[in-house]
Amino acid sequence: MKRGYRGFLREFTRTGSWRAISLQVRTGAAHMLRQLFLRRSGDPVEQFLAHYGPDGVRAPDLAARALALEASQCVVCGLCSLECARVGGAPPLDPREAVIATSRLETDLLREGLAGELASGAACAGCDACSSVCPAHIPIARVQDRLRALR
Amino acid sequence: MTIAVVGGGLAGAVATLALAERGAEVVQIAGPPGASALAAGAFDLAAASPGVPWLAARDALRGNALSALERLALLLWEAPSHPYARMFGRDAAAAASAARAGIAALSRWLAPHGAALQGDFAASALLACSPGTLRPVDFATPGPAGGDLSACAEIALIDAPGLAGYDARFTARGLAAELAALGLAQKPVRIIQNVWPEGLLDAQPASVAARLDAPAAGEALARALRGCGGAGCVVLAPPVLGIARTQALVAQLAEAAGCAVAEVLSFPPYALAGYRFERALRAAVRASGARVIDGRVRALHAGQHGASHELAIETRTGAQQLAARALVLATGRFTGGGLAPSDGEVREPLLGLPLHDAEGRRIDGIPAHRSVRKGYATWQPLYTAGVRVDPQLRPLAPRGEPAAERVFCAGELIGGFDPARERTGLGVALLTGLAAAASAAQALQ
Repeated sequence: MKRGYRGFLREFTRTGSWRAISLQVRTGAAHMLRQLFLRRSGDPVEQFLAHYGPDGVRAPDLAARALALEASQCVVCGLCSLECARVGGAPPLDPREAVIATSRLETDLLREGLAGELASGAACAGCDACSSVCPAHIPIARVQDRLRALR
Repeated sequence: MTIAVVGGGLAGAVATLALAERGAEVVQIAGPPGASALAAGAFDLAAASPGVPWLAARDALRGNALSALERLALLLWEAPSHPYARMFGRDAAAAASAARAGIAALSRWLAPHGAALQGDFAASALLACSPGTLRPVDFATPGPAGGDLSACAEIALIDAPGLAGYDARFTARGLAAELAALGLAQKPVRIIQNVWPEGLLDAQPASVAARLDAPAAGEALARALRGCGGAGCVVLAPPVLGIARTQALVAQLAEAAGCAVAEVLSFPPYALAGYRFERALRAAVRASGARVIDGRVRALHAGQHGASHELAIETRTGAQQLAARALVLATGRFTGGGLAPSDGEVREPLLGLPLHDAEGRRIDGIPAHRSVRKGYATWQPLYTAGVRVDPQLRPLAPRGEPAAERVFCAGELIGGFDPARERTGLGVALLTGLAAAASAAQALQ
């Protein structure tokens, strides 16, 4: 078997579809051309976020990440939803779904328009009845706050 | 002479209620609900035999049923590691009288809160689950309790279009298939449409249940159901019949329909039976006069040579200390937090008690994945993991001597059985909760 780039190309052409290969080549070429001719000066982080922001990519936030890790302890029992309904809450996002959503990537939430859905509609009153019944001790009111703050 | 009960599930509540009734000074550290709030509303003492969990169930469905007490006796012989066998040995008469006393006590405590168990030691009821499967049940909470299909002539399902986790047509198809597969007599299954008053039904089961708590909404639903039943008919409803006044609502609907009305069995967040059961337990504990601390135990120092146990409790308003002469640990397993993961292993976080599976192997101190076996039909050592106890329910150290003074275990924290597979979770919580309370009271005399 050949090594290096030519070996890679041979493997690639044998396993990949032609459509995939042509897409790869075109994207690579476009990237190189952009780097050569359209290169802007300025903060590279801002440039990155300006470019990938519409896809839902945000600067990392350690507090949000810690909350997401807490939310990932969810056992999906749904007791928070029951407690929320019992105390008469009407949050735009059901607490159980909010917790499940937070344990996922924010990128997905922003891309799927969930953040916009949360900004509209009646707000969660923040009574925190939901977290009092959570067997996994997830601070669900903070999760709701975090989702509302997502832009 | 304070006795502390750690745990807010069925075992903890029962132990607290029993101690309060004896006049002991008892403090329950309740925290959030555990696994008993996730129950479907059925209450089995010993539903299936541990070797072949589905056999007893299928036998009951074919009408060749063992009674609850016969199944309990069978379990004492078949599963020596089961908490029942730890408590009663092979003494079926002692187990039966404890079971009768336990059910009577629980019904007495729950009755004022509209949640008394309904059922019979002599014969099990055949209840429908939301996928259309049938389940033999010894006792049930007021929502699903009236739905015994074993003797009914006709089944009618209330349609609830758009409600999450419930589809009347799907359940109806399942029921027809289940009856045929079991060789039972076919019964006509029909669907009752257009019964929901305007503005009552939406996708969220919890909101529908909360709306049905208003007497006007219940009356409107009862009017829509008027005369839709008939002799020998059972009307099955989605499991959303109210939160606080289910018993009254079911009675009201049954009177209007002219036949039995019951919820199908399902689980949260699509069903509220376990949640209601747990709320009724909490109300009963409050009414008993026992002190309740809403918090979780952060650290526990077991007193030796007659010294008190020291508990460090974290509540929403801050930390607090509690000294107790005796302790009932009813912290549950994975849902309740009695067993917790730590660096890829499973541990008992409060006292570091040794954990064993149903075959007696130690499972703490080894990677948790080694306690999981391949295959769906096989039993899983991890799901039987828990603390080993002696007949007084004292936790045992590795060599078999009691691990701490005046500490007693109750509920799923006790290992040696799989609560879901053997369907004895709630039964064990009830009987061990009562027994741990008795042992704790005796230890202080």
